[in-house]
Amino acid sequence: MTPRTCALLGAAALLMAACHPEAPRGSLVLTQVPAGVAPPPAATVMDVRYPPGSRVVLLSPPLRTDAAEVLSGGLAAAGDPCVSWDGRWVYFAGKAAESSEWQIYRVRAGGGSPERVTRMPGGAMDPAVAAHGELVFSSPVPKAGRQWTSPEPAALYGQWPGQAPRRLTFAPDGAADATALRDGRILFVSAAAHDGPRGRRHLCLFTINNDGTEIAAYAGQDDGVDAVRRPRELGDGRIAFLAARSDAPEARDWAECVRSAAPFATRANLFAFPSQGCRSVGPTPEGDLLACVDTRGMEGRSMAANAAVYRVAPGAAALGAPVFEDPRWDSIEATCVARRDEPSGHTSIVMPGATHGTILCLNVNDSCDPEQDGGSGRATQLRVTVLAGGAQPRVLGTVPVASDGSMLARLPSGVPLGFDALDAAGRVLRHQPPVVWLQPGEIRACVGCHEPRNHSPRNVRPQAVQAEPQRLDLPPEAATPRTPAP
Amino acid sequence: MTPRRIALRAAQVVIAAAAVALAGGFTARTHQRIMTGRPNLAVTTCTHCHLRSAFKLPWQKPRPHHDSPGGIAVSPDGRTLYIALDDKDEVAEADSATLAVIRMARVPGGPFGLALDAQGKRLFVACPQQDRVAVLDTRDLAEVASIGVGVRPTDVVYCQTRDGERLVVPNSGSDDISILTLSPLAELARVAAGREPYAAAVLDGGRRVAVANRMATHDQMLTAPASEVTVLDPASSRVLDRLALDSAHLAEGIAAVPGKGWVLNSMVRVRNLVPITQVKDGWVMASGLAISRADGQVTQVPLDEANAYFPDPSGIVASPDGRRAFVASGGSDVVTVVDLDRLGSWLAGSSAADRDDAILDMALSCRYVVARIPTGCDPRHLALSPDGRRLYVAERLDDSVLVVDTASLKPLGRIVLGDGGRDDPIRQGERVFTRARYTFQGGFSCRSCHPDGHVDGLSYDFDGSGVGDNLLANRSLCGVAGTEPFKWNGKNPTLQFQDGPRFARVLMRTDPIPDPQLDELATFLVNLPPTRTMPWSQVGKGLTPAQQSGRALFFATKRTDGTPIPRALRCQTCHRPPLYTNRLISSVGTQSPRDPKEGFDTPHLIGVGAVGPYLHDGRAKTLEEIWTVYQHDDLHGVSSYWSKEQLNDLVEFLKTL
Amino acid sequence: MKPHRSPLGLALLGLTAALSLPPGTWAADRADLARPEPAPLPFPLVARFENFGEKDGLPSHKIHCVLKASDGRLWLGTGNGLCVRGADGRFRRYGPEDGLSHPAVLSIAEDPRTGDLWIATMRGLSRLSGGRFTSFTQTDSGLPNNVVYGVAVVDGTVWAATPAGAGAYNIREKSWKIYDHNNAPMEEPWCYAIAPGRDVVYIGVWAGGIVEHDPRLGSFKAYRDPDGDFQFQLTPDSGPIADITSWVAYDDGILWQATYFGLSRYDTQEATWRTWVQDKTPLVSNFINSVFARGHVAWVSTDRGACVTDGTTWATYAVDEQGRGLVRIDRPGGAPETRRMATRLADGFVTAIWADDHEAWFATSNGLSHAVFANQAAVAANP
Repeated sequence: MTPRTCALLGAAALLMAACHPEAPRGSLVLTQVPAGVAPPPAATVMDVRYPPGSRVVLLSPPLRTDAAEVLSGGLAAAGDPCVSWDGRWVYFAGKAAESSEWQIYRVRAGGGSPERVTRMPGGAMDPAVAAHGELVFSSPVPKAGRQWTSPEPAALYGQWPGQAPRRLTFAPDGAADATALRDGRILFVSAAAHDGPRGRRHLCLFTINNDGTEIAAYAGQDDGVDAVRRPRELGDGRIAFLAARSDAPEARDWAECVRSAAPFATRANLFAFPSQGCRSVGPTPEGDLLACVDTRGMEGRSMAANAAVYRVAPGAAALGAPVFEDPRWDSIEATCVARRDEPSGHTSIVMPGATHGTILCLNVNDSCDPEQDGGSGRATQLRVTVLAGGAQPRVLGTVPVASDGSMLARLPSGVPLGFDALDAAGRVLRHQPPVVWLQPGEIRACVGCHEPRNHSPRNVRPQAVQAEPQRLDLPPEAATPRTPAP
Repeated sequence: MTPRRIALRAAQVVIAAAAVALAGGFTARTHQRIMTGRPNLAVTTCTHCHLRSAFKLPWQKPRPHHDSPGGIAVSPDGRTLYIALDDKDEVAEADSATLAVIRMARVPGGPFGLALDAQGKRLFVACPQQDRVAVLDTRDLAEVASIGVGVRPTDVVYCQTRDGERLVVPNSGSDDISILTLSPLAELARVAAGREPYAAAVLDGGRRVAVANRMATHDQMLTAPASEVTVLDPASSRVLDRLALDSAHLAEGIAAVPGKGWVLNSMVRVRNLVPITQVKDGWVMASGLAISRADGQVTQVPLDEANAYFPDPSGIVASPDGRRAFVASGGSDVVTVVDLDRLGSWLAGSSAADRDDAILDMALSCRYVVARIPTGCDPRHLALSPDGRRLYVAERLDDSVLVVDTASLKPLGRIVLGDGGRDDPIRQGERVFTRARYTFQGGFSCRSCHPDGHVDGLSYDFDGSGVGDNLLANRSLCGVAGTEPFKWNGKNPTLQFQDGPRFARVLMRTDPIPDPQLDELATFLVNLPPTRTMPWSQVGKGLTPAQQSGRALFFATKRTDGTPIPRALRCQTCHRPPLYTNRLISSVGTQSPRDPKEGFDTPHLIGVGAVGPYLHDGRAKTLEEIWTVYQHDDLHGVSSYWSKEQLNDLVEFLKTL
Repeated sequence: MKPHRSPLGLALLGLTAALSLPPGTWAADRADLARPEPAPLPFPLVARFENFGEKDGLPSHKIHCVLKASDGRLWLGTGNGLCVRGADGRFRRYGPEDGLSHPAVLSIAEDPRTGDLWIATMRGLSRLSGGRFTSFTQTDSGLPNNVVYGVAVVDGTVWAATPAGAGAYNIREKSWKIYDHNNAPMEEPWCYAIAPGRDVVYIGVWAGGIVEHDPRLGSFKAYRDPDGDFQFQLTPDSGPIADITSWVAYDDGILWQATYFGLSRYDTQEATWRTWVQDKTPLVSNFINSVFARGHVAWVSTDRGACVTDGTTWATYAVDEQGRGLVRIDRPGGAPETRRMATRLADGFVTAIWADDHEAWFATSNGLSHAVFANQAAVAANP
């Protein structure tokens, strides 16, 4: 490259930067869907959420309707924006044309032309930015009305700039609505463990490390409502999310929260006032909450009103006046454009070439409710089930349980695993449907089977670690992952 | 000279140089193999045995000293603060109204713990670097008396007893407690404590004194450790109770709760017996509070939260009304505020099983932790004004004392003692060392396992190569300079390597420490001096006859009967002075069935008397056990000819290193 | 507090059947159990015994040693653990499960500065402090040998008498020294007992008499049987009666030596010796398990009962062949007076005694006896 070329490229870069300055302080990124337009028959859940014409816009102070700058220009529909930690980029889901698949795009926060960053078969949705700028998203995009019952459930993927995506989750019912926590984990929505289509399915929050390891329940497994959406970490140690009585699109959400200090014991309404119709909620740099609320029919609002953006102070007794509304659009999602502290990273322990991971259970008899779990008998072996190569779990094999209840095994990675604690007579004492997985090379441990949430282990040396772990392999016909990574 | 001649001459030179190099290399290799007694020794450098001077190590050189606040004492009228500045050998007197330092007193010996008498006329200063307690007259801050105590006294408390005034002094280096009378100033008794008695609190108006022991002890490998709270009668010097804090270490804070009859200990609950597979949910360790009730029952409750940690709990104080406790968290730079009434309610309504499991429930703290007060770097010692309205927080690495209004929990200001040493790379490295931000969710810091750079006396199971394969004893960082390579397998050539990405992967579970901070950390570590194990009174006095006998045994080349000891099996061959290591891998017959290799890094022996347990997995409880229990076929030095007296002498010598 | 236990006798406990006086040894002068004493005795006289056995909660019938600590609690070393008698009179046992290094406890000593108890066992030395045990063994510490017969705490040093020498543990420095045949005047290292003297320590050595050690000077002095013959007393009152020392005790300038061949007394101020054997003196048996010193009085534990003496006057408590309790009083120049007692020692094989001015406790091979003293004033008023 000649000096002249370098100079030209540098000048071009400067020019581009000048054309797309950073978003002004106090700017918002909004998802707007056309107001009063009946949604056409939709093919995917994203088409239901973001009907044709939906757009992502940048709204700069003073937040006037005529100041909206479209960030998703040229796309047939767009939505679900998120802002990078440095405040410079906006990621969102979009589709280029009516017939296109949803993919993840990004655009400079100050404006510009969106560029596609994913090329996932079946589409991609729910973008989030994790540590070091890694993009996390769900793929494929489920068919409308089948988000949690799809035969090809969505999984979370992580993708470094310029690299191929890697699969992070193997949840049997799918994973969606990811968001990065400050501690570096990915918080996402999935279905609580259940026994197949006839089991009660409800949505709750889970976490993984950003390499897909350490799948763990976060909140709502025991006390959740039927559906949760759009979890977001607030600045005050709370996780806000939308709750609904069902995952149907017509269900009206309300805002709830849990405290990260005790997420299984602190579920509560986010606001001091009813928040039915809440479409999104998130933090502001100043510590307020930014919410989009569908105000149709609310007190003081007409049925012709639409979803507007509100800024709610902590402890506010009422929703107050919107900070922005546009009668032509429903403003359903709002995010502040600001620089924030980047999440912690995570030095991955995943070994890409490995086929197995290791799991250690300190005491399979450690259960918070042994009576409900089939009695207080002591398990002598653990039956491992796997959901691979079919809709029903299949038995992978059994591994011995040491006399102190500990168990150590090497199990196939990349497939949902379930566990049944069996007594000497083969009776099932505790049952865990396939819901957890191991990443290749992961060494995973748990306190017990159905142990109390957020509990630390006792300081005892598990007997199982004195011997080599027993290895179980997938049968050949099930060895191929159900949803191969692109 | 023709080109051809030049070329010829050059060729001659090259050939000659090559010959010299070959001969030299052969000679060096032969020398190495003879001197180590290892015919199969791989290529090593000369510096394993030569060109190492203890006097050139970083910790031997002068370094900047800082106004790091240690113990704080508040006068009975609340108007005056006394602040120990151990790094400067000074005690500062500050005005609580103006927050200004009024005057300084020079107190040699690293003044650290402070106490005032009932009238505030005498200030008692524990000086750990000179094993003494100094008495200062508060009128002029002049030292009026001094008395020698045990090794490294870290605290002093004053109490009035039925038999007169007493001082109780925990001696962290000699694992005992000095009980002093004041009229005359004399040591009434020295009672055995747990391991590293660190802080003391007066109970029941002086009828009892409780002493927190910072380090845990355990009877044998793979059993749960416990830290002790030693309760004694200062009048009679009788130990009344030794409360065991199960699986607790770094229990360096203690406070009595007026009106409730409780003793509170800040502590770290370790899970060293569980393979380290994650940090989440307190899998490695978590901070807690131990509540010892008058009936001797001890309940541990968490100070951490389900998804956040407040590690390295240190100083702790209870309000005069017994309703609140304040706990400094050095790793997260906060002071945790505990509502003791709420905690009491929970205790009263809980079952014995609930109390036993309380420390396991990371979400429990929501019930009684009411606030987290941000502080400067590394808050350690705390003090309350006599009326309980002001909390003083020693921000150790910021050279300041934060003043907090206990009603609003808002800061009122700071007593600025120094500039924080921002330009000192050693100080910056110490900040890295004490901060937990480099661990997942801020779970722990370097200091959590290496208090003051030392050891915690525990063995951990790292999962680098699999679960249960890698049980390793903690190693002291004091005096670590020049002893590379690091890690028991000797694979880490530098401290940066040791504490870098590998540590992040197997232990910290987050991003590695950034390179600049890693360099600062290494700078701090190589400047950590060895732990002094000798009493100050014996330093520089030469060896006792027993120690001399032990030294002769250590350097022996022949058995008592004159039989030569093979060079490879002499103590001094592997543990070569001045650092008492040749920095090579040695096989001493200690490989266990799941140890991947038979050889381990030869540890240096500087301060070895204080770093037990011993051997790579901590199997040897004492130095004696290395040879009485875990010696096989004289592989760990020829010891089969030693008498018991000789072994005792050798141990006495090792304790002088 | 002085340590007390019996040494070799303990090993013989299971072998010795001589639990009562041989027939005809003594005959009670009269059956009047309440006959008053003719004159005051220089030591308390036992009026009755209260006996305790396994049925009373003792963990073993073999009691090896007894110590009443400065806090008033009575501690027993038994064949099955350390035992303490609570204020309610109940016995509580401590064993290896509590941290005691071995269940066979041979000797107990109290650190007068701290109140800590040091417990000699058949496998190591344990410290009981604040309710917790800490143990020292020959493999994890400088203790010379795991079998610890005797223990004493002298001026901040714990002395342990073992078959491999006397171990001295400096509590402050946490360092051990070993004194044996290599560095002290002992023919062999087998030590049975330690007695703290005035500025010195007395070590009872098997086949080595008594070794006096001055810790300040590091000096040693050996007291040996002048005739060198343990079978015969060829030179009475001129030195230890035998070199086979089973126990030593010291108080108020008087050193007592127990042997299996008689009793010796050494006045350290006058440097004079006296010796007693059963054939020629009131000593009830040459086989002496231990001796307890209080003031100038010795409480002597033998295989045939217990003697109390100041060297001139004797009171001997024994059990006759019918199992009845006897007491015999020997006054200087007077005829022995033997009487039956309404109560008796728990067993004639007495291993150790602890006594003060108010009571005495007798450890025997078949239970524990508590001695209630007679009213000395009443005795004096009724000659």
